[in-house]
Amino acid sequence: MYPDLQSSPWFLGAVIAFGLWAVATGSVVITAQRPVHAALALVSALMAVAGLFAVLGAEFLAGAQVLVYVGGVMVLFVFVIMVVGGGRKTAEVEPVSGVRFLAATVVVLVIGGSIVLGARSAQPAFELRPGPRAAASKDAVRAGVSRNTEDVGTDLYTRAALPFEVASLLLLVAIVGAVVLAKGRRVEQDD
Amino acid sequence: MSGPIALHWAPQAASPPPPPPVVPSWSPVELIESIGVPHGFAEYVVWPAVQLALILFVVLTAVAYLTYLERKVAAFIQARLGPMRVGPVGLLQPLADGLKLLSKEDLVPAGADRFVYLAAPVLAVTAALGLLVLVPFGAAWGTVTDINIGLLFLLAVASIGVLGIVLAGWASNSKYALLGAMRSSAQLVSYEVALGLALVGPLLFARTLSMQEIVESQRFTGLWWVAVQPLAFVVYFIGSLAETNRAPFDLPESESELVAGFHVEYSGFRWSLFFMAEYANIIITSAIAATVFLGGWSMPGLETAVSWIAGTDATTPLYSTAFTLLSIGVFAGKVLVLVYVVMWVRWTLPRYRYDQLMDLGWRWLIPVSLANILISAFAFLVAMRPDQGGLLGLVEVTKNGLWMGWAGTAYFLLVNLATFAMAAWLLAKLNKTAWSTDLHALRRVEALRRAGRLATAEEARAE
Amino acid sequence: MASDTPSAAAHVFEQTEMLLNMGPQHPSTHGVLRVLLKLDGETVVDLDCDIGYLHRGVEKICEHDTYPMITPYFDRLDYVAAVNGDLVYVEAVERLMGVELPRRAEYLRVILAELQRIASHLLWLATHALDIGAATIFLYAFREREEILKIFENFTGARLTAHAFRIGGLQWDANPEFVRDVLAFLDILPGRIDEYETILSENRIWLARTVGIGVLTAADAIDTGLTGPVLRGSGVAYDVRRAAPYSVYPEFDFEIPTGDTGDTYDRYLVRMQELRQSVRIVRQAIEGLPEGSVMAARVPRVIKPPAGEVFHTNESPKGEIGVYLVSDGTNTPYRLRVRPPCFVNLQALKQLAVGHLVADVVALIGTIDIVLGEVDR
Repeated sequence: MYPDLQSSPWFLGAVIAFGLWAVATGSVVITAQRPVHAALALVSALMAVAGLFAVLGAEFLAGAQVLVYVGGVMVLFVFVIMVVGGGRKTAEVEPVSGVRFLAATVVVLVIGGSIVLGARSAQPAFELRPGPRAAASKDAVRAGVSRNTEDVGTDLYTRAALPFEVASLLLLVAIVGAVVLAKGRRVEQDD
Repeated sequence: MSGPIALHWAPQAASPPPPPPVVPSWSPVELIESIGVPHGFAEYVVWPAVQLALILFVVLTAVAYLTYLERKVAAFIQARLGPMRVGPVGLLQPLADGLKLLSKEDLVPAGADRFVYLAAPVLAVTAALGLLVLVPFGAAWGTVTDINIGLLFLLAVASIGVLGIVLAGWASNSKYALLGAMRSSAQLVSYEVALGLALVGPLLFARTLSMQEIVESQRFTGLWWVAVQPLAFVVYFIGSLAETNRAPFDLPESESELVAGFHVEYSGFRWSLFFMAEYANIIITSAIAATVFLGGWSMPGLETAVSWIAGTDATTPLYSTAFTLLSIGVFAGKVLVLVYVVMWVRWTLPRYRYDQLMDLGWRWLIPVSLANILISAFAFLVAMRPDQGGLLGLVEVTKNGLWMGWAGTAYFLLVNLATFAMAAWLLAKLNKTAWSTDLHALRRVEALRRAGRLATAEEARAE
Repeated sequence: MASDTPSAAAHVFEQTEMLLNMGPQHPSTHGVLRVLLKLDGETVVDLDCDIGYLHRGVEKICEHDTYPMITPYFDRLDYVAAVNGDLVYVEAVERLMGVELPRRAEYLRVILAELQRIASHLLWLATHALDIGAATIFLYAFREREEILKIFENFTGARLTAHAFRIGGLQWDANPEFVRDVLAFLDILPGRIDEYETILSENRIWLARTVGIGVLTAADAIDTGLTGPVLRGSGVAYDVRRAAPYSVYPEFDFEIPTGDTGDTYDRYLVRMQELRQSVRIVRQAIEGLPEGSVMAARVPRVIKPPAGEVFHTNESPKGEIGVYLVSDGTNTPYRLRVRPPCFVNLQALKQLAVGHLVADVVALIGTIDIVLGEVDR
């Protein structure tokens, strides 16, 4: 990442590209006729989100997004979809009419309004940390530690320690539940 | 600057070496700019494209010749000669195989989901080849790019390959393929955990996720991280065998049982895409091992070798170009050694059954790597200088890397011995394995237990 | 239907039990054997063998062939241990006819039969190890087996289905190279067997795949009628060469190895020990090879055994092979029935496999050591 990236056209182009990609594949998710295709589109959308994270300076989050979300959660999603028959075509997309149309309009106005209002405010929503690379050339000796990784790690274990522990406790409960469910099916199995 | 224990051989006596001076080097980007390409375009588009093309060409040829190497290694281990007919010593065999595969009928099984069937091998290969941009083949321009979360990116993209396998098995509309795909993906996901945890150990010392920086940190400290983290290296190596579906963990694609598992319905070029993905994964996991544990492209004495070959010292562009080229050679050598060991293991050991495989991953490798992290981190903390938060002052975290004198090195080697012993003890306790090394007695007990002639395992141990 | 895909996936997961068909074309069923497995997840709940794909009607054919014409058929029953098949048949006919063989003929017969036992066990080791995943042992064992096949080719003219024996002895005497080659082979084999044991016997993965798999108690084995290494692995020291001796086996000194728990590892150890015992027997036989002729005197050209019946058994590498021969005084048998050890042993597969995982079925088929030629005849 480069100190002057935010003002360069590459930045804007990257954000727009990733955004369009996320929106496009996101719409495939909700309109695909087979659940497996929807799952694949979701994988693609999550990759686009990871790209956005990376461009905005949260590179650790981008890596973690791909590793955990795509590599773990989506694999699980695909498993489940396969088990419940993901190849069959689902019902046709239903038309949006009546109350649904009203609700959809409200949602669009609210979200669109917040985007527009936020973009028009003078203060940037966040500050891009200057990148660790001192020189632009690739021949530089040391790139340095990823600031984002360091910051996320420090925050997780100091300021956000309690939510972190609570989340891990929740996961532990889920794991125990899964083991109990799996074992419960086969009562005669020894070991 | 002295801690509660005054050690006169501690590094505070000798200061760490200054960072090496930046050597002027010939820049390929400047070369491209000199023919009229604008700066940004040259640096971010043209030169990476050239690098990518070169790397893809080299790696795809390497993958093809890895199949040849595998057949030769297998043959020599099995007291025979391997491919000998096509070209001298069979060297054109991969070409013949490639041509054959390209000329096969392109079929899609009846009832298969066409899109997913076609997309699955592409996904697998993309995940495998996409990792090539980050591998530090050599110094300076020997790598396509270097991002500061390099290792994390490698692990992340590698985990996408799992999706390719799952989808391939499902889309083939065959029971065998589905079973193979399920097993394979469960195996890959489990061993990814162990792999990641094993890599955390050397990261304590390297203190960065960037691939080039990991190599530089080993150069700076003068120590390959395998010396201070041998347990992590072993766990990583075993995990990489499982990640690439290689024996003894190749049950999902074992020929004698599931008849090739998840890619049983693929033929011709699509099948070779899976194969390419597998061998590319082997190269990449070996490359990661070489980088993180074995010092990457650096080698003690590399600088003197380069000055001797180039005829100049470290002040000319010729030197740095020669340095980069030689470093690529060193890296290739290390990766080749590791790949050879991977093949050697395949043709020596039998195959683990699926439940034994999962057992190994969850009950052995993950506790071992967790214990390794715990103990290494604690030892490291104790060894740090008091003004940096530690106790003994054997290790100094400087701006440019980790500095430790002889005392520090000896300390960490001793800690590793202790880690090994403790890990073994912990495992024995956790897994309720007897300490007995008498395998015959053990197996007699096990057989009787399974035959139901012994009521409980405790009774068995009493015998 | 084309849009409703893939059906196999839903089919697999909507019920708890799945029917899996192994064979008849499968790399690990050692021939054309079809095994129908009913699986609950990975566990085998039920197993059924469908045999008959290699049935050639041997017993019926034998009713129309003259006695010398029948001998080559016995090579092709258990084609991996061809010489042992030959031996039981010619001995049965000689017993009916009351022919006494010269000692040299008997010794040569024992040498060839034991060499064939070694070759059969080597092939068993190669395929068993290959199925479990140790591909290299396959090539090593075949290297040794190649030496035996060369010896057979020099002696009888054929490598696999050697047709070594005739009714009344052997057709040709051994040439000088035979003794030299056999002794050379006996010198290298024990070292090679040590090599195999080094690679497998203490290997953790091998132990994990074979210890406790397919435990067969002695009582069950006897009840099912099993013989051979499958029975001896469960601890029953029954070997036809000791229980009902034939040829000149009583003159040789050898042991009967037995296992104690009856699992796959025990059967592996028993067969490895049998390799060594066979080496012992061959060495004693070749060092004590007497002079003389290799064909009995006064064996008529047209073989017409007196009317009667005989049931003669031998110890083949797979188990107890038997021939029930009914002669009506003519030059063709009235009835020839083969008691095939592989057919009987294969019955045990169901009781061994139920409760184990799919990957174990392959190890179990290997440990019973079947040859479909004998199972189907």
